[in-house]
Amino acid sequence: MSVAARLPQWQRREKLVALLLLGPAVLYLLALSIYPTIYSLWIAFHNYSLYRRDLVSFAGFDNFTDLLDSDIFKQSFVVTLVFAFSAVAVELALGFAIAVLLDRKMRGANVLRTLLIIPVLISPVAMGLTFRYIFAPTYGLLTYLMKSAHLPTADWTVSVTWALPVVIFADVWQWTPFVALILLSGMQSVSTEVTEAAELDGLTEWQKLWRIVLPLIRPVLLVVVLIRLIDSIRMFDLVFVMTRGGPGSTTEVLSLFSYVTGFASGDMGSASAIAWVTVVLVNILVAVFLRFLSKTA
Amino acid sequence: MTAQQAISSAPAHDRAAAQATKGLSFRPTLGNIGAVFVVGLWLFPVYWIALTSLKPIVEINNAVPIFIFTPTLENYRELFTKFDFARVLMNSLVIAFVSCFVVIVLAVLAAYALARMKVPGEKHIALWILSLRFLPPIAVAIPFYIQWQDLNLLDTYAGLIIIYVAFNLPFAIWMMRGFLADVPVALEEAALLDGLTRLQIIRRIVVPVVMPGIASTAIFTFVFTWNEYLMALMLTAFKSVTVPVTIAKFVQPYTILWGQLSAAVVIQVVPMLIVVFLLQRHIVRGMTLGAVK
Amino acid sequence: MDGRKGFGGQQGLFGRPLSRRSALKRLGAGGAGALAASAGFAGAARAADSTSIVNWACAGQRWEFPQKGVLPLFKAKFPNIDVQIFAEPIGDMLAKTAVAMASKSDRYDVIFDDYNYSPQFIAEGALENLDPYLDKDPEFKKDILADIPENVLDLYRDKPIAQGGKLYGLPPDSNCQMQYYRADIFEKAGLKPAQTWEDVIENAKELSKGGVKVTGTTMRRGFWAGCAFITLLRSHGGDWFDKMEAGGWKPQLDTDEGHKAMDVLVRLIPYMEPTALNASDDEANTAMLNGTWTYAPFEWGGSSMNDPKYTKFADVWKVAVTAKGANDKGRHAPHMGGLGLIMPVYSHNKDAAWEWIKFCNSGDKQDPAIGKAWVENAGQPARISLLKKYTSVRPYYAGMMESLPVAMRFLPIPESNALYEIVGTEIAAVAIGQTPPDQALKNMQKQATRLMTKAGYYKG
Repeated sequence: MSVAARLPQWQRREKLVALLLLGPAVLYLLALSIYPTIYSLWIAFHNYSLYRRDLVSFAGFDNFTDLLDSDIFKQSFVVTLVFAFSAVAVELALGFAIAVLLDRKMRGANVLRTLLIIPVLISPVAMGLTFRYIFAPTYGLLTYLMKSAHLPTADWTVSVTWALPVVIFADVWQWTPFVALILLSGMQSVSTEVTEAAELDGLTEWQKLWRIVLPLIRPVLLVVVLIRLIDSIRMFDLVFVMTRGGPGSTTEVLSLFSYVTGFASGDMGSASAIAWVTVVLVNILVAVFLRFLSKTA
Repeated sequence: MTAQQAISSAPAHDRAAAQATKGLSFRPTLGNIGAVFVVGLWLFPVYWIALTSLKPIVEINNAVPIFIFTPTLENYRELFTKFDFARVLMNSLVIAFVSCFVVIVLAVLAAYALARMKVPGEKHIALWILSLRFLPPIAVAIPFYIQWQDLNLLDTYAGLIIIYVAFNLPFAIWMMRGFLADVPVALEEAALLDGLTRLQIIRRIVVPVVMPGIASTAIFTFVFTWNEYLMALMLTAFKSVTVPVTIAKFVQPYTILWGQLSAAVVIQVVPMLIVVFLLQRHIVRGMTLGAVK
Repeated sequence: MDGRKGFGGQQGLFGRPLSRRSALKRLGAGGAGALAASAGFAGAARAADSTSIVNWACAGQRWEFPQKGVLPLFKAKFPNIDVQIFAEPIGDMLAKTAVAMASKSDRYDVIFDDYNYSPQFIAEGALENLDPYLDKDPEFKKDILADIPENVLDLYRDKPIAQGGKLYGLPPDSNCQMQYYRADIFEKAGLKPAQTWEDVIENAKELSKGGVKVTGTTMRRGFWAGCAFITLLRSHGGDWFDKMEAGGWKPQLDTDEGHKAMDVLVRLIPYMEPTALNASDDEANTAMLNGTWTYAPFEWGGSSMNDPKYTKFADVWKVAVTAKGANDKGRHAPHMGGLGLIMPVYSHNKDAAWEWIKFCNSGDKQDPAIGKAWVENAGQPARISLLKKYTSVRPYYAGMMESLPVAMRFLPIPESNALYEIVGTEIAAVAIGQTPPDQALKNMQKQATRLMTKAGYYKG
């Protein structure tokens, strides 16, 4: 007897329904991702110059191995990791704190929540430009304010030590509200029953937070961190507009390095290789992250 | 009490909850003051932008930041006369709304299947969907450009919408998957026993409960689409050009048109704020779970 | 379905009652809009007696604005040709035009693009040769050849005219690096525009005596820093290659002139205002417009410096030719910039496109109003007659007339951008103290040679 015949009627229908629910999304994504993925992989294994397309030739793994010789690639790799981990860590800590702060019944709470989302709404290009101005040495807003207060100031976006922190600051400013609001949604989905029960049991606010709420919003928290981590590694708009990788290459994240390699130097093969290295990096990070989490589950 | 009845009572509960906040006052506790202070301080760069949008150009290009000046609406006017901003705004709105709508519909269904139903290889499928977000857009810019050119989709609404749905679906599915995992299974099990179909369960039981999650995901999908730059740059010309690309045009070699840029940002933010404020109603605590007794 | 409204629960997806009808309407509107937009663009109105052409320009002053300024005049003369001017930020033009040419796009009839991108377009056969069109109009041809400096026209030829090159673009625009200085500040400090780079360093040193640095130039990693170094290299008598023909193409970066150039740069940087280290055009111009910089020894031209709408210092910004090296071989060698109108071979409206190109390049001879409109809308002409006539309106035109004849172009090969990137990366590293200058020269030399080898310049 076949398995299908042994399954009760409603189980088979369940499978069909599941397929119908999942199918459209999966098919859509499949259709749109196959061609670009294969094409960009193909480019990565070829010498493909944007300016000499008559000279396209197979390059094997050359584009990838050449990266190992490139000092800038190594610098870019480190910069990207430093940026991603710092930004996400700060966003998580601050975001959680702000979510707790805003999770209260008070008049105007929803106004505050609405206002807080503004940083996320503003185009990263516009925000990057604004921050570039605020953090400009000599004529920037921050420099001006600090000089007026007779405080020592720095070269910010043009300083080798401060450029990356300033970019991280900009990213944190823009995305912490995102983390905060998602966590807030999660917190507010926790039923009042549960929190009331905890209060009746005599738990303090702090204990309620750590022992009841936090574990309950764990799925949402994980997804938010994962999404932010992935997006931070791929970040492009902000740094392109704020420092374009400078001074020198101190803020040259991988996406930017790929862009410059591809469109300024015309070396699309290497640019694609860099992009795929980024993909592998993210894959590894996500796998490690998820495994680490399932262990502590 | 059947699940059916539980849900019928939900709207009343929600209304009550919503009204409950109306009666609240603002008590100047440390926490409340802190909340206002944090949000107020956080928004400082936004004030600066709003301020700049009202400054005349010569005062913007000053070595020293100017705080006191005669405000002018000249920047806003130039935006609409010189840069065709009304159409650009309309383009962005339509593209973002439609993309968001399609994404939410597909994502809620797909996420439900992944979170609740026994799908073979569920973990692998979910990870594959997430992995689509790994590739930096720069790698797919050229393939998409060439493909879109052949399909005559360049500089159209449909061309961008198709891309944005694909770009945002993974995020939406994963977000909804997270929110759906939070929903207690008991509700649905009761409904299943009552003989409701899956679709009915989704529509009548699950969606109302997970509304905060849907609202959040919708907001952020909208925002990602609204602010997306690289693909819009590559795939539009002038018929369907969007706000971020137009904003980038204000960075001109000889000067950054700060006035128009700030004005554009202000205009861009206001409608979104309205939408978000309206959706706030759904991010309110304690919706229907109390109904399951 | 029961009586509940809409999809997604009784409250609808966006919190307001979203009936199925309104949802469908929204979707329909989006879809219809998409169809309409795609139909409208794919089949641009080609009525029997009217043509529509698309002009792709860099956004802003010098390009988009002057074109839009002369458009009404063009419409009056050619009512049957409808020109759609579409503008893109200059920073993105390379990426998009390269991709458009790569995919043989027929969407654009005229492109107002930097001459630096022409070599590869010419090499891949994407540009229409304009000589036949010129030949059809001998008077215009004579006028153009006499009024635009030969080295400027050569920018749009596959080879210099002296070697029989063919013309692939016409420039209504030109540019070159110049020595910008604030006349009021210089007078107060008793300084004069520099003749040699030693003078430049002296000036910069004097100006920073108050403790505030006011000298600057674009030194961002990549093309900008690359330009800075190559200008220094050339003005000491050096150049990119030994000779630019078969048997040559050997990079001349790690040479005596290269060392001299590097030396000047290293001594000048300490007097530069910090923004310069990561500055591209808009930051440099902002600094000059708002008074942060008062001395820019080798900056690109721009009308905003003399425009009271953009700066308080419109009357006092003056220009001179860039300095030359202090050695025997020293010469004035500013970089030449400029954008020109090119016509993709894939266009379907070449005759109409040619009329538009010709019109933008008309200057004063055909109709004084054209030249006037071009200049008044922040244009920067290539025609000497226009530069001469409007110096009173734009004082820096005088500097351009002096500098254009000696200005030197970027490389006329497709690898030009990549090579400038290589130099620019090393220079930026030197500027922030990451790489020692001598090592940087060696790196540049090695990488440039490697690139040229890979591109096949040393075969046979």
